[in-house]
Amino acid sequence: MPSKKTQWKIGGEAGFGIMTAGQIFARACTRGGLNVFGYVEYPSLIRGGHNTFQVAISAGRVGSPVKPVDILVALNKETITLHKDELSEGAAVIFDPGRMQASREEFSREVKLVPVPFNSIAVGVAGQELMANNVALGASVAVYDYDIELLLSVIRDQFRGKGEDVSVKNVNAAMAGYEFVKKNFTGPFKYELELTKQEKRILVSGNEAVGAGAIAAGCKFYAGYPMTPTSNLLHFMAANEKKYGMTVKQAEDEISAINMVIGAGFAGARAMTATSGGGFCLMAEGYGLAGMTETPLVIVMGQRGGPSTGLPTWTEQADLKFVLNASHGEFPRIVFAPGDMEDLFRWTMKAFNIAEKYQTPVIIITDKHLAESHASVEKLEWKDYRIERGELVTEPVQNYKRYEITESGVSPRALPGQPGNIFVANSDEHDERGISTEESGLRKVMMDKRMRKLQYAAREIEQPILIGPRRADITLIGWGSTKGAIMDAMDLLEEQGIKANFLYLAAISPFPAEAVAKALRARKPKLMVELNYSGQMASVIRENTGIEIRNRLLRYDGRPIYPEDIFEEAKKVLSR
Amino acid sequence: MINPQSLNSGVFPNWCAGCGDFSIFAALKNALVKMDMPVEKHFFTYGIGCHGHMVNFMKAYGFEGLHGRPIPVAEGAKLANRELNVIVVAGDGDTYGEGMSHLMHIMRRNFDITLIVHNNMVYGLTIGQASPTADCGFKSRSTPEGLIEHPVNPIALAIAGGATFVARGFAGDPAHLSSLIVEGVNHRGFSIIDVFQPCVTFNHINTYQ
Repeated sequence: MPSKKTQWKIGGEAGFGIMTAGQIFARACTRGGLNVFGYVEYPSLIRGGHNTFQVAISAGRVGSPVKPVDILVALNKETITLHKDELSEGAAVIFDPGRMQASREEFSREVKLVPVPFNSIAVGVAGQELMANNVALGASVAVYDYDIELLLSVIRDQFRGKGEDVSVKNVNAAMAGYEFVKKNFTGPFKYELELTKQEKRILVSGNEAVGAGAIAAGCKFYAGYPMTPTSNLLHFMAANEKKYGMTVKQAEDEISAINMVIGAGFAGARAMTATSGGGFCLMAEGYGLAGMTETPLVIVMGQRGGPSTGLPTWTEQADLKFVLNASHGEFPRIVFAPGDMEDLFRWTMKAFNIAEKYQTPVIIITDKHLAESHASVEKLEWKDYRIERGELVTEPVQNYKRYEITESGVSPRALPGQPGNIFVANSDEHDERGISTEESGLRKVMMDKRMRKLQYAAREIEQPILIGPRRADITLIGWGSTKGAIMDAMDLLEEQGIKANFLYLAAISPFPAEAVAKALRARKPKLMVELNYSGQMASVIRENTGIEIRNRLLRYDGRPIYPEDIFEEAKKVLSR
Repeated sequence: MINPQSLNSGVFPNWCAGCGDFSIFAALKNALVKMDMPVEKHFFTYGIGCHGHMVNFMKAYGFEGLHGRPIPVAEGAKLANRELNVIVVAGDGDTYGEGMSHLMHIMRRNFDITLIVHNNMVYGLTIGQASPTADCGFKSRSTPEGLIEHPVNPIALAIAGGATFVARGFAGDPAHLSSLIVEGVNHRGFSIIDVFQPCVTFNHINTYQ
C-alpha cells in the first residue's frame, strides 16, 4: 500500500535563492530516510519573474510532484496569489508579515497562517537579510515537526566552502526560524514528517545522474555548448574534470561540440556531448558523420518546449520523432529514453558500452522535467558494470581494414597513433580501407554492413517491461520522464481497487516491436501518456506494430503531467 | 624513416592536370619526411572540396569529415591524445565560409595544431562558384554579373584573431611551402598556413602567373 505524501513549496522572485532553498529542504528530507521528488519552475531570465521549488515527500515511493500543497512558503505576495488554489485543506502558509499582508479570507479552503518575520529574525541573528530563506526553512521544519538537526547538517554542508562564519550564521538563522514557530504556534499540523529507518538516500538531479553514469562508464572527454536544460550537465562535468581525469570543453557552438566529440571518440576517448532541441538541430549533420565513420559517442538530448526557442525553461517530449529521424541518410540510430534518476544513470553507462561495441553514436533523451528535477535515490551502483570496448585493435594487424565486412557489421577498430594499422575514415561512402567509392555494389555492401549492427545491438538492449500486475484493468503507456507520474498514478488507482500496469519504453531505437506488440496484445483499455501535441510515441508504436492507441493523455503547455491527471483520465477511459 | 613514396596510399590522385593540390600534397609529404616522426604519430583531418580527396591519397591516419568542420574534429582528437601531431587540411570554403567560427576559436585557444588552407578563391568541386576569398568583381556561375563583395583577407584575419604562427605559401613553390609546413608543425601552438593555389579549371584570374 502506498504511503501518504505531503508537498512543500517555496515561491518568490527569481534571484531570491529559491533553488538553493528547495534543494536544502529536499536534502534534509532524504537524510531522514524519506523519499522526495523536487520540481522547479522558473522563467528564462536571471532576475525578476516568479520561481518555485516544490518537494513531494513520502516514506514510500514518490516519482513526481503532486497537485496539493501542504506547506507554502511565500517569499513574496505573488506566491500566495498564484498558488493559493493549490493548497490542501488545513495547509500552512508561512510568510513574512513584514513583507506582505495575508488573511484567511483570501483562501478558498481552511488554511493555517504562519506569519514569521524572516527578515527581522535574519537581521537579528545573522546581521543580514540574506539569510532569510534559512529562517523560512527552519520554520518549515517546525511546522512539520521534523528533526531540525537534519536541516542544520545540510546547511552546514552547503556553506562549508564559504567559511565557518557564514556557515554558523546560516545555521543560526534556520534555528531561529524553527524556535520562533515552536514558541508562537501550537497545535498539531495535519502532516508530521517522521524519520524512517530506511537506508540513507542521496539527492540527485537528472543531469547529475547522467553525468555520474558517464564518469562511472569512463567518459574522458566532454564538449558542450550551454543550453537549458542540459547546461547543468556541462557544469557537473566541468566541476568533476580534474577529479576524474577528464577533459571538459565549452565549445563555440553545438556544431563544434559534436565534431570535437567525434574527434575525441575517434582518437579513442569515451566522449559525450549534451544539448537541447535547438542545439541538436545544429548537431544533426555531425550525428550522421559519426554514423558514417562508425565513431562511438554519446549524445544527451534534453528536450524543452519547442519549436524554435519555444519554452526554454519548461518541459516537453516533442522531439521524439526528430531524434529518431535526425540527420540525412540511413545509419544505425540507437536511442534510449530512461524515465528516472536510477535509469538515467544505468542507461548512460550502457550507452557508452553500446556505442563502443557497435561503433556508432548513441542518444539519451531526457527533458527539462527529468534533467532539472531532483529525486532521492538509494544509491547509484556501478560495481557490476564492466567497460566493454568491443573490437578494439591494440596490435598491428596484417593488411588491416578498418571497415572490414563482417557478419555482425562491426569491424575491428584501430586508433590513430598505433603503429602498423594506418587507415582513413571518410564521410564519403568508402570501401573496407576507408577509401572513397561511388561503386554501386560496394555502396550496398557497406550500407548493409552498417545497418546490420542494429540487429546485433538490439539483442543486448533490454526489452521493455510491463510494470505492475500482468493482468490489469488498464495499461498505461509512457516513455522517458512520465515514468514517475505514471507509477504514482498506479498507486492512486490501486487505492480505488483499479489494477493498472505500465508499459515503460526506455529503449526506443531499435524499436522493440515484438515486445511492445506482445505487451499490448490484451484486449484491455490502454492509455498513452506523453508530453506533446500529436502523440508521437503512439504514432511510433503504430508504425512499428500496427497497434493504434486511441486514448491519449497529451500535455504540451510546458508543465509536467501530474499523477492526478493520469488517475482521472484512466478512470474516464475505464468508464467509456 | 618515412620516404615520400611510403606516404602514397596507392590511389592515384584524381585532381585536374595542373591543379595546385598536387604540389601542396607533394610539399606536405616532403614536410613529413623532413620532420622524421613515426608516420603513425601524424593525424590529418580533411575538409570537403577537391583538397579533401587527399584523404584517399595520403597514407597516414586521416579523417575526412564535414564541410567546414575539420577544425573541431582535430581539436577533439588533439585533446584526447596530445601525442598526435594533428594537421588540418582544409579549403577556403571550409575555413573562411562554412567553418569561419571554428577558425576564430582555435586561434584564441592556441591549440598545438597546424592548419593548411588550400586557398584557390573558387569552389572547384561544386563546379565554380565564388569562394569567400574570391576577388570583388569575380565572375562565376553564381555571380554572373561579378561578385559585389570584398574578399576575406586570411592573413589580416589570423593576425587580428591572435594566431601565433601565420604564414602564406604558394602552390607554385612547393619547396618553400614544405619548409613553412615544417615550421608550422614545430611551432608550439596554433599555426595557419594559407596557401595560394591556382584552380586551372574554374579560376582563370588567379593563376600560376
